[in-house]
Order: sequence, then structure tokens, then C-alpha cells
Amino acid sequence: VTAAWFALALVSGVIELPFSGAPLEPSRLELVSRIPGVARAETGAGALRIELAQGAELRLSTLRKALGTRETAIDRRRLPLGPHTIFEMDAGQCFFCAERPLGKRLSRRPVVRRWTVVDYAARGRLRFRIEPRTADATLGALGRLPVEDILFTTRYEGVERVELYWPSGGIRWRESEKAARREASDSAKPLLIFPTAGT
Amino acid sequence: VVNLVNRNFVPVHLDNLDGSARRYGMEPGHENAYIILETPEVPGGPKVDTVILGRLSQVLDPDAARAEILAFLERHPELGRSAPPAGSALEQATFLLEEGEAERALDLLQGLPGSTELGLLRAQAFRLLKRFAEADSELDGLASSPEVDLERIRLLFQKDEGPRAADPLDDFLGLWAERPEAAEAYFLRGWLHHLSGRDDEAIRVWQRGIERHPPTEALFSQKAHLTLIRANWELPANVDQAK
Repeated sequence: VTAAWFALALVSGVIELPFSGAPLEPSRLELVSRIPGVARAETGAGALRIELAQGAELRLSTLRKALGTRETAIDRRRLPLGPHTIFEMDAGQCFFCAERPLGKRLSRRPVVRRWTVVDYAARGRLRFRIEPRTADATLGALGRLPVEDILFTTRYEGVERVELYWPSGGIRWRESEKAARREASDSAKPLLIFPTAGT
Repeated sequence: VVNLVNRNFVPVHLDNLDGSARRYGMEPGHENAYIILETPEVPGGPKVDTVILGRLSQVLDPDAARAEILAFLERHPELGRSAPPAGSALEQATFLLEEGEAERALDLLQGLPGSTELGLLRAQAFRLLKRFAEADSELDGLASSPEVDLERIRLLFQKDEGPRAADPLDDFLGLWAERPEAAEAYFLRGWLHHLSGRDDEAIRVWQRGIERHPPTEALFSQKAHLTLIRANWELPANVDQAK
């Protein structure tokens, strides 16, 4: 599934969001097309087709606000789980502490093949992607999740998981403990060891 | 602290998810120490000396960490501490100031002919020594430039007059936003917003700084990135984030 699924990535920056209910009013479609980051929006065959600007992110909450009607709504149950579907939750604490319970919940869902954290965002938000077992999996198959919002973005294409250790504070960390210990012995320099548990 | 580490230590990150830090008394998954200083293992050499800093603290205070690192290096003169490079007095003083050795830097700068570079180095040394009036006096005679303007701003923060830096920071970012020094100005401006309870504004300023000066290139953008991420977490009270 992996290759086929990742091939769903938004090369053209277009996402298709199924909606249910009455056809979308032109004025609402106009509002959607004015959301920052939306290059174009159109409807057809029960889906809202949105072209995103390069690197832009569209929040489901923003979209729902723009639609603003009870008659037409994004059908979350039929929403495809693509590589561009990014879930955001408020970790509210150390990310490592937040990831474990989240991982437990996700591992119990048969639809989940694997999941990875792709980014950390402002105010302790954790962003993760879920790779399903089948390429046609939808959000509905996932059931309820402790997420605040869902983002659609091409920003994380090619990003498998967040790089945890780039904030080095300017310190030139060595590649491995083995290499560092050897260098320390050879150069008669002391080691500075920074142990963490993944945060 | 970073300069002291890079010049005198072999730094390595140890991922304690797998219990590889158990030999330091840390259970897998726990992060109950932040920095470990350790002499190298040499066959037939002296017993390894290990010092654990910041056990159970959230963030190391930079001044305390610096003092501990220096004490460790002094206790092990056999390891040989890095020395200022042969060069002009200004270059040597710059090297010393980068490690926080302000007294020694001032000694080197005595009696040199006046210049902007000299005045700036002396102002930095006085600031590090908390001799603020002398730092002010050095800066008074210097023309505006990104380096001089930022030093004036740093001095305000060091004197606990950070709120007075709001206008100078806005002026700085109006004039020098593309300069590498601006990453620090963005961080400090955001920090002032945060202190005033305007977190949305703080995050906006930090994000703008990060866009202009990517974290991979600017240390202050790294700091801004991490600070905006944890903006809803309890920030440790033991560390002045503006330092």
C-alpha cells in the first residue's frame, strides 16, 4: 500500500472532499475560494474540489466555517485518508508523554498501518499522519480520535517524521555514541552527553 | 556555553528510549538529567570522572551550566582547554567574549586605539560583567549599526529594562529585518509580547522571524521555534528566557 498511497500525494495541489446534503450555493463556494491558501475551488459529483497554493494548509474547521450551512457539510466519514491529511492535536505537555497514549489508541484501530508525527506546531500542537492499511481507507473507518482539527497540506510531502534533534542550539553533536567515545579517547577531550527520551 | 562545549568537548546525544542511559541511573524513557560531563576512557588511564548536571530540572540555567563546565575543565587540566588563537588583541578578545571571559577580554583591550569594533567589544564585556553604566557609556559614542543597535537592546534586557526595548526593537526590525542579527531581534520582540500576555502577537513575530531566518541558519530562530511550540506549557521559572 505504501507506494500507491504516497502516490496520492498532491502533485497538483488538488484535494477532493466529499460533501453530503444539498448542492453548494455559489456564494458559499466563493467564500471557500477566498480562504487564504486556496487557489481554486469548484464542485462536482458530490465533492468539493480544492486546489491549494504551494505549501499552503487548509484547516477543516476553516472550511466548515466557510460552508456555514447545515444543508451542506463535508462528509467526514467518507473523507479519504491521504498522505496530505494531517491530524492536529493539543499535546498540552511533553510530546513524548502525549505520543504514547495516542499511539496506544491508534494501534488498536485495524485500519491503521502505521502513523508518524510530521511536525510540532505553535502552542504544543502535535501533527501526525496516519497511513492506512488500504489505499481507499476513509476517516470514517478510524472512528473517534483525540484530534482538534484536520489539515490538508502538501507541506509535509517527503517528510516521513519530524526531525527531533535539529534544534541543536549550535552544538555540533556527533553522529553516534560510539564515534563520540572514540573521538574523545583519541583527542583526550571530555564527552558532553545529552540523554533524552525522544523529546 | 555553546562555544565552551564545541571547543572543549565531544558532544553526543543519547537516545534513552532504549535504556542506553541506564548506566547513568536513568530508566528507559526517563529524562532525569540534561547534561553529563565525562572524561574520556583511556586504556590504563585514570578512572572516568562523570558529572551529571541539572538532574530533575527542566532547563539548565546557562550561568550555572557555564560555571559547572568551567569547574569540570579546571579539575581536569590534563584535558587541555582551548586557548585564544594567535592573532590581534581584538580577535583574542572576541574569542574570550564568546566564552564569557569578560575580565580577560577587557585586559586585552586596554590601551588599544579607539574604534567602533573596540567600543562594541568593551560594551559587551561590561554588559557581561554587569557594569552597565560603563557599557552605556561605551555605546553612547558609537554610531548606529545593526551590531551597535542590537547591543543597546541586549543591554536594556540585561538591566531588567526589557519593556523599554520594544520601540528600539521595532525600529531595528524596520531597518535591519534581513540582517542575520535580526533573528535575535525577532526573538526578543516576541518575548516582550509574551511577557505582556500577548501570545498571539508573540507567535506571529516569532513565525515571521523564522520565515526570514530559518532555524537551520539562526540559533535565535531555533529558540523562537521551540518557545512558540511550548507556549501553552509551563515555562521554567529558573531561567531568564531572554538571555
